[in-house]
Amino acid sequence: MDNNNYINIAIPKGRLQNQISEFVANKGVVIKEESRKLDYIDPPNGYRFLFVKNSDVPVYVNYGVAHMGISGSDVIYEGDFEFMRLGTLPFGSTRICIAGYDSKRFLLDNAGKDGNFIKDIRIATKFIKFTKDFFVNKGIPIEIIKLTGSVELAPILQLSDFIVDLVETGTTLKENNLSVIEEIGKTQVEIIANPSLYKLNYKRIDEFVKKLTTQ
Amino acid sequence: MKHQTHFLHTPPGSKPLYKEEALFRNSIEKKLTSFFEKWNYFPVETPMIDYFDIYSHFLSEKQKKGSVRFINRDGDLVLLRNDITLFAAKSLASRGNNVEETLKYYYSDQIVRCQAKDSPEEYFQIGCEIVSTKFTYEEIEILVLLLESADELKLSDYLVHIGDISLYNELFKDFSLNTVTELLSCIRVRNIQGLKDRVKELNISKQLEKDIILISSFIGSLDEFSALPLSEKAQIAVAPLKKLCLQLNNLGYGNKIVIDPSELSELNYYNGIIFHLYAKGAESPLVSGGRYDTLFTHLGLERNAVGFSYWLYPLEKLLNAGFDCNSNAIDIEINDNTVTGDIQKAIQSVKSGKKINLKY
Repeated sequence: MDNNNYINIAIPKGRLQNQISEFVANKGVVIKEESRKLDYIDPPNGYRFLFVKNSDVPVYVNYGVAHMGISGSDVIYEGDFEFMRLGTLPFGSTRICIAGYDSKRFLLDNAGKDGNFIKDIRIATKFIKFTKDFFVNKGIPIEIIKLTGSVELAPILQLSDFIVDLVETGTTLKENNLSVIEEIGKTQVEIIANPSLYKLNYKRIDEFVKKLTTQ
Repeated sequence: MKHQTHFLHTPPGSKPLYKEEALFRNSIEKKLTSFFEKWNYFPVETPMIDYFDIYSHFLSEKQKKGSVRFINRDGDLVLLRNDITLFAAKSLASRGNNVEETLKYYYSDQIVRCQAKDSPEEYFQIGCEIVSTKFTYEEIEILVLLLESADELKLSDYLVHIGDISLYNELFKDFSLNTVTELLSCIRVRNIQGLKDRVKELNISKQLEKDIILISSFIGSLDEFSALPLSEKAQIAVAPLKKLCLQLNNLGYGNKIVIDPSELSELNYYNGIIFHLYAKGAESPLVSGGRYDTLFTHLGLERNAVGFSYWLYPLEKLLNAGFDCNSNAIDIEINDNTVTGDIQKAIQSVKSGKKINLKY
């Protein structure tokens, strides 16, 4: 098959990649990761898998380098691009939560009530757009501090009052005497496609999606 | 590193065109505008600035945020042209009943809008529209113009996806505006699972549920569309779209069109067919178009209207590989001793239709 005729699928490197590989293997699709290779071609099915950084999946799809991608809905939301949302996969669902010291919970409780003096609330997060939209909709003024890793450190070192982050088991929070203040969303693993590339290749893309989403 | 003076920088989102780029754009513009003129369309020029309020109704919150608005010296909120169809319709409506029964016009101009994060803010649209008191085959004419103009531009690997938002009027007639908006936004991004879940919550008949899912998840040929096991009511709803596509099939465009009821638009003014042209090698649609009578109704003029626009950025990127910018001009050297004769030679050459390049 000509290189141009493959359906390029961007998948995130790391833990999610292993889960995706394991899941699609049960559906007859093989993704082999060879050391340091950035793609894997599956000639019989006509797929080319591109291994990219989690947060870059939407970028590769948006600019049409990849026809489609598999990514967390949190990453898709932050990317703020328009995609075809073709389906979800039955794993990798996580809570997105406001977390911090329980003793500071009153700051958020009071901020939501009329007539209260609102102290500036600082929130550290990787999820800038999600956090901003959430608090704007609630009418709570906040200051957002962008961090890219170890977000839990922010309230401990008093960089912020709270954090907004993905919480799976909550163990890291507990170990640092932090707790979930409020669950504000859920993320899931989604199959997305570039709208134009989808429209030109809808049969092959739908076939792939069907393979993955049929029980 | 030495930096240029700041005011000589080009701000993000805008892009000047030099020499070959400008020549290339001109060649596309000439090709399309002369093609529209052959079909007896006349040019229109719309204002660059207009009052914002009149357009506010048709723009989503996202589009409003992506538009450039400011207060003019009279204290009015004005908008930089962000959509030529809108601005042209308003210009016509402002002439009231003095507008002719049928108008066919084309345009070729810039718009300013921020479509997506990090995207350009200046765009160039070339398009054509038909506005008339009563339509018969005008939708066919517009689609024929689109397909033939694609041929004129020598586009080869492309598909025109055609949907019809009016078919949902019947299917969704008992739903609240919020529900309709939610359903349409699922359909537009082909979130079929989300659509199924939402439809299940609506407590509607099994037949209507089946009709909605079958139609809105469909994408394919006319034969495949005709084979859908729809109710009689749904068959009536999809009949105009089927009829239109049958006519296009009869004209020999069957392999270039796809029936796709998920072809919807973020713009609020479409009320009938909606279509886009997608080409291999382009990451976004080259053409958007559709039927927009409601825009005129809102502007106080009862008219049917349909049209389309080419988006020049993706089109230029796609066609660029085949563009020959060789000007084929004849060099005429001006010598100190023969200045008059050399310039006269140049004048005569141009009069006889040749292209010249004076050299000193």
